[in-house]
Amino acid sequence: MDASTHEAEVLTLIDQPQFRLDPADKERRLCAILSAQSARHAAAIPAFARLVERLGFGEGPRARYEDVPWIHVSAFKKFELRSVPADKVVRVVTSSATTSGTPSRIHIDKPTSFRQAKALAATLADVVGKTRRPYLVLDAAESNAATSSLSARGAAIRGLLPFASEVTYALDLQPDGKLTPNEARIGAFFEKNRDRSPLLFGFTFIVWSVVLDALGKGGARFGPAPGAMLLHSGGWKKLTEQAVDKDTFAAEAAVAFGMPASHVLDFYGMAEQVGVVFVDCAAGHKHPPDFADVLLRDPLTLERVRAGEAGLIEVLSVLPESYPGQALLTDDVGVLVGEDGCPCGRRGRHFRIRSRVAQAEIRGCGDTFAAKRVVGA
Amino acid sequence: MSRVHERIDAASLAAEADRVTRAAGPAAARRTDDLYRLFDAFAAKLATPAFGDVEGIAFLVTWLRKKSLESMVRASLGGRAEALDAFVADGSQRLRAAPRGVVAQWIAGNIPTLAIFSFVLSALVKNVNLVRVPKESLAVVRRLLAALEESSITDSAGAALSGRDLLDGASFFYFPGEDRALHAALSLRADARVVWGGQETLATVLALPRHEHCEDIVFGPKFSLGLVDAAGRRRVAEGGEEGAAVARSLVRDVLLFDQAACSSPHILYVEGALDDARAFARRIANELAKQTKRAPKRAIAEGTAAAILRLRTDYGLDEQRDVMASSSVDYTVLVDADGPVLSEGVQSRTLFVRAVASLEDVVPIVTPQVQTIGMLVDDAALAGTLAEALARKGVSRLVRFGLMNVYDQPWDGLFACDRFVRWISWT
Repeated sequence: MDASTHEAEVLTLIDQPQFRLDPADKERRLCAILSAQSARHAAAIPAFARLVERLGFGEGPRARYEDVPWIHVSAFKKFELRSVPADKVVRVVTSSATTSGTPSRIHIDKPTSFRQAKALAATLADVVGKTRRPYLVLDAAESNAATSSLSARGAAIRGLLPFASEVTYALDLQPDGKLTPNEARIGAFFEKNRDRSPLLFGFTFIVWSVVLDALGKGGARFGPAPGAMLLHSGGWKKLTEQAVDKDTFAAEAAVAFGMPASHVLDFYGMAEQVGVVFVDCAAGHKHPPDFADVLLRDPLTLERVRAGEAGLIEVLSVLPESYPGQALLTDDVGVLVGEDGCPCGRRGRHFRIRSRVAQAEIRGCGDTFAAKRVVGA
Repeated sequence: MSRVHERIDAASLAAEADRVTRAAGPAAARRTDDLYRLFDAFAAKLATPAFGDVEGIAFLVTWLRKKSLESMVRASLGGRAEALDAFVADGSQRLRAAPRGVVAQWIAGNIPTLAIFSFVLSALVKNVNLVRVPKESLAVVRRLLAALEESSITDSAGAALSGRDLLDGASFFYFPGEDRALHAALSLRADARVVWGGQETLATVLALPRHEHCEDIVFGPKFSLGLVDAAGRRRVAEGGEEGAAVARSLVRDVLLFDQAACSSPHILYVEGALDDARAFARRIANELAKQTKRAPKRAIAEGTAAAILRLRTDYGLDEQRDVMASSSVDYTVLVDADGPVLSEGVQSRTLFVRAVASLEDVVPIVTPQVQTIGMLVDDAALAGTLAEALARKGVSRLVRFGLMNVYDQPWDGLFACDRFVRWISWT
């Protein structure tokens, strides 16, 4: 596939009405692009070329998602994986680093940034509609500061701006770095916009621990705003530790903002693949948009799982040109619900997020080499 | 009758302990040679295709043979094995090795057959046993004990002796790890306690109340590795018959027990540069490919798979490292020249091959947690120097590749049979 055909095909996949592709046809079309992109990244990044050769991916082209050279998403924390010259990088997106303490650094050039913005808008338009709405960001304005580096939070906040008629930030960043809800500002936002189907967005853990926790304690309630919609993403690891599930979260948020719980929508996405989000449909399933897909890999065989089975989530996307993000294997586990047939009417593979992988436990007496531990201390 | 209680409660544990204690007299009166022959008959029962799916069954069968047990007991008791049956002259005195009585055992979950190894060693020197089996091993243990029950011989007095008789003096059961009351009840019935396990199990058991006379035999958390000198590395890398045989043995050490045993190798330190380690690793990877084709992995924890895939990515991208792996997660060989440093074991057929300038550089990083060192050191002088230095660092076993998981004596620095008996002198 030459460069112009390739670009045209990527833009077609972004611009066309989403979620209508036949799954087999989609895999064929995406694989053609992913193969070409992988070859380009291998030519530009010696480290990626090494990985392709060492893990036996071969030269391609690839007809199946399984055969597209993947990278574990954690690699972006340790390696600078950039397939364009440094002066072509317009932004470095960093992840939240909740698990490892080290953020991923994703180098974005102009074409990739352009595609990501269009792609995100195309996906979200299917969920929130094309009409602009008042936008309440359940975060502080500082999270979306205009710098060459952008956090995952900032990227997500920015991704919804095309749907905003006006923007209000609900939280204040205190001098000690803490976030606090500005109840007066939130109250004024709802007072003005409750009947204008406002759009709310926040990071799941921040919404829970900063916004809902504070509102719960203060007894503050907003709305009712029956047309409001809350999108939230990320941070489930910490909430799972607190035994908060998706339904509990949605119920609490619905009460606080006076909206139906069905309007509280979780979406799955990652800093390493800005532009690709998987939003819950009405049936509670996540659907890949046309320019991306998921492969749920059996942890033993690494082949795709069948409907009803759980697998390691690999996210495939044709958006990245400036870094090798075509196939990112994650530490998340999903359950494949099926291919086609979702009651929501969207076509293609749909899945549910189950959890992060449990940390591997060393069982029994085959244990660590560490010698400094004390028994009975 | 099933001798395995899936979820024992306090009342049942007390009843089982009473039953087992009552059997202590008959157990002590048995002849050791009869016990060898009974376990040999048990081995014959296990050496059938019906048990082919049990991890490590081939080794268990070999280990249970009369000759193997005899030699182990003789080595453990300093050549005084006859003292198990009667007082024997020893210089100016007479010595007798008497059973300790009731041995309470806490078995680790990493080796499905571990409960049998531990029970046999104790029963062989005529103790009666209360054995807490990990939940994940219950099914295997139940099958193996059923075979033992069906095993029988005619004893030296001409009477029938069966595994059923032996199991009158044993109870196998499970209860949850957090049930401290049951742990304590078990501990208080013991004349000796045997603990196999990780840090958490050790901390739990060693903190339990016990009788003053109770002896503790602890097989705690361990980690194992391999050392390959330049000559040995060349032999393997060149791929001749001798080198191929070493690679086969080494890979068997990796595959057995899915690398979950305390004696399983996780890192091989190879004398040479990165390219030397790479050439060596390539032979090992080829052998892993052959052997895993015959014995593919049947399951893997998601967390372990994710850890392996992270490492494959890291080693695949890094110019100063290399990776050789199956297309599934059947095996992974990670090559580096990170020097003399340790890495946590990943298990599940994941092997680090690490280039070092000199094997002597590895000695300082060895901790007392390192149990077994597989050695391919052709330079005899170097082997001697390393053995002395490693012994001082607390290593328990230095073996050829192929023998790392052979459960021999001493183990973890002690002769288990010796610890399972009380020595009595008569002058």
